[in-house]
Amino acid sequence: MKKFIKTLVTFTLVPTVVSILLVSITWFFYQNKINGLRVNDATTVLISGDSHTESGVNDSLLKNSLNISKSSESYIYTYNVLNVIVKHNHQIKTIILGCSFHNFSDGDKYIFDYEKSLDQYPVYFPVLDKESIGKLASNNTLGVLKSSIKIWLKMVVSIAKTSKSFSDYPFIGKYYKSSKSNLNDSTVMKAIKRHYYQDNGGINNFSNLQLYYLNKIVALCKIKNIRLVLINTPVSNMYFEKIPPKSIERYYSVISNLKPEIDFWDLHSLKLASICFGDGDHLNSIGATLLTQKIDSLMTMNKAKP
Amino acid sequence: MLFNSINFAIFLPIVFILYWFIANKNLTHQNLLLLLASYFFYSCWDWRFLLLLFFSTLLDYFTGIKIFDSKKRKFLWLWISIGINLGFLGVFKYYNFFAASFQEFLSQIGFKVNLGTLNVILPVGISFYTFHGLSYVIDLYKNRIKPERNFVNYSVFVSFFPLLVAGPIERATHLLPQILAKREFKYSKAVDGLRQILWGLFKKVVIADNCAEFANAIFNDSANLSGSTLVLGAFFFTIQIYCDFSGYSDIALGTARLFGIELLRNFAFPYFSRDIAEFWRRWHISLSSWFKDYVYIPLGGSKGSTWIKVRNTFIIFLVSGFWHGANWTFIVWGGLNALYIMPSIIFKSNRNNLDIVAKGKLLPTYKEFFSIAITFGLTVFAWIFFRANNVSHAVSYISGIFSNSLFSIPNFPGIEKCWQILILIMMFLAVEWNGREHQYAIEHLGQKWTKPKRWAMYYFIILIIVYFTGKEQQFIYFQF
Repeated sequence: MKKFIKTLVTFTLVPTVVSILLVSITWFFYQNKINGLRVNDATTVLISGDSHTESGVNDSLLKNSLNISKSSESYIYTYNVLNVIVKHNHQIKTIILGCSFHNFSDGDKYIFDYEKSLDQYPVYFPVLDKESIGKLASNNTLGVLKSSIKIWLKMVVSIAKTSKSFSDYPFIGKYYKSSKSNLNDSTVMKAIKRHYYQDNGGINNFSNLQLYYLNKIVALCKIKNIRLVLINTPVSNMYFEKIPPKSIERYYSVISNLKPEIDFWDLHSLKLASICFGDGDHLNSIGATLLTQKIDSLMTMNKAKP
Repeated sequence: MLFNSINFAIFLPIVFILYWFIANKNLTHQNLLLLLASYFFYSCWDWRFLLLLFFSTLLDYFTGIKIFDSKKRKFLWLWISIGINLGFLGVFKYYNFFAASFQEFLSQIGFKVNLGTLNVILPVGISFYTFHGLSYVIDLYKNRIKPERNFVNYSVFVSFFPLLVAGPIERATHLLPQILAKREFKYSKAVDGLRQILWGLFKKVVIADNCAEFANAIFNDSANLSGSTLVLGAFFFTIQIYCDFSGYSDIALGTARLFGIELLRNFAFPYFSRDIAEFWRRWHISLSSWFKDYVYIPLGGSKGSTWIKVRNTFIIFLVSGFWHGANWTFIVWGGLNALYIMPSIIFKSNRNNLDIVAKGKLLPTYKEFFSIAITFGLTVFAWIFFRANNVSHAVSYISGIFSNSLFSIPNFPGIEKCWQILILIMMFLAVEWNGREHQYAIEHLGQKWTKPKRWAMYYFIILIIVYFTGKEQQFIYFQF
């Protein structure tokens, strides 16, 4: 028995020690690299969020702004990415954060979904704080385990890139210019089902995790003295009409609770022609230009406020 | 609690440590611990079914003693046990099937009746532990064994957790003597057990679970896919079901070996069989031999006229198909296999290939290769019925295969991901071929290598498991 235990311990210990060493060294270099993440000094406005802001706000048309939105990004990731950026970039004065109707509609299932995790964990894991890592590890242990090699490889690749451009940091997104115009019943229904309904047809639960991390973003901005603007990006009427009223009600209830701490630009009903939409709830480049102009005017108005 | 779950990864070491460090003083402690662990393991699915398991155990324990002790009423006690055991199985597994089939039959001849359906979940493992118990009472009746009068020992025989939910279907003559003797720890046995668990895990989570995704995608959308894609879907399912079930069996055998217990072998590289008779000697061996011993031989077996042999073979395969589930697809699958095997029964060539294919050689001869390919092709075809939702789905699937699109390039959503799995399957088949003379593929792989080289191979398999783990799927045979 002693021999068996000894063999088993040695067999387990060897890769454990090697892995810990490798991960520690990589982690150390990666954290150094993250600490060197600098946004252009002139950039004072960050646009953050998921695919709605990713395709909806053209930062080249908005003065001193940078769009770092990434498709399917949940607030747990947004919070951690913003946390890393504002730590070393004190010039950031405003964060425009995408906050649409679907954002509180059971985003958890995407965060802890086994398949999704394989794409997202390698991107975001190294910037997560201890609390966030704990949440992922306890709710999706298998997903974390399976992505572990990819997480490590992604860090190594990122370290190997020395240009220090944003493309070295996989967790930072950018404006996605799309010329497609595919607004029809099929794309709308697909999005509605994905955003608001469970596989069994019931309405998605409210995502407490999303709200928790939105509150953390609010608190972070308050501490860093950054103005936080939540933006509800335009959606087509076809899409809006199919959103379950319960989801809309819950959404506005969250916003009204947050209102004293944040600015809220509700642009979901901004009058836009069909050709401005890539599908039911995403803008294409034409729509993005118009939305960005609207944001620009709102910012100017806001500056003019006493 | 699935074998490929974190819960089991915690459960197993705890039981192992308690077993060898705390309960190793005497046999009673060892068996009591195994029983408690097994009941805990089973209750993780649904504690309510523990009552059923307990009742089934008690029934066979009691009737077993009665069969042995009674002089005049042996036969009565035997049939009480068989009747109640099959009654439970019938209610939980087959009632809805019979009720629906009977209703449909009556409606076709003009009568409309409503027999109602039972809204019950099938208790996991019921087919397996019922057959366990049946083999015990039948063996007692046939005076092959003596009854076990210690209830704990007998309960461990029925509910030993590695085999409780999906076999192998053990025999009292094989397992009970091991349960009645105090187990001593053996290093080589334990290491071998871990190695078999590793290989079983690889088969299940890397090969089977990944194949399942493609097989499901293709079978669920079969009406819209090309013939070549449907062939690919059937191929994926063929690999899935083998790796799923034999992977499970490997983990079960390996786990049992960690506790000093040897279970019956369930698979012997069936896809390298040269004819269907050989395939059935190598596939789900514990079930095939159960049916052979308790149904086929009592029916007359291969003694008697050709007609008797044909009849008995058909009965065995249809019953075996029906054992898998209450669906006509399983019965057709069983019938199809009976048809496959029929020529060899009639021409008495069913025992032509008893040895291991290309024993001692690297590659098979051309003749062997083509025999393997044809047998494999027939098996793939039969699995379509096994996997299809119903018989008409299977028929439309097969007619979809034999269409003009049979020679087109396969295409389905997600096909871009399937190449790496096909490569893994090829690698897996190569390892299986290389290890076909042993109990499981990697049993002797690397045994002559130096320790670092051998460990490197194990680490490599673990890495592949971590990296390529497919989306967690329930073991297919849990539903039976």
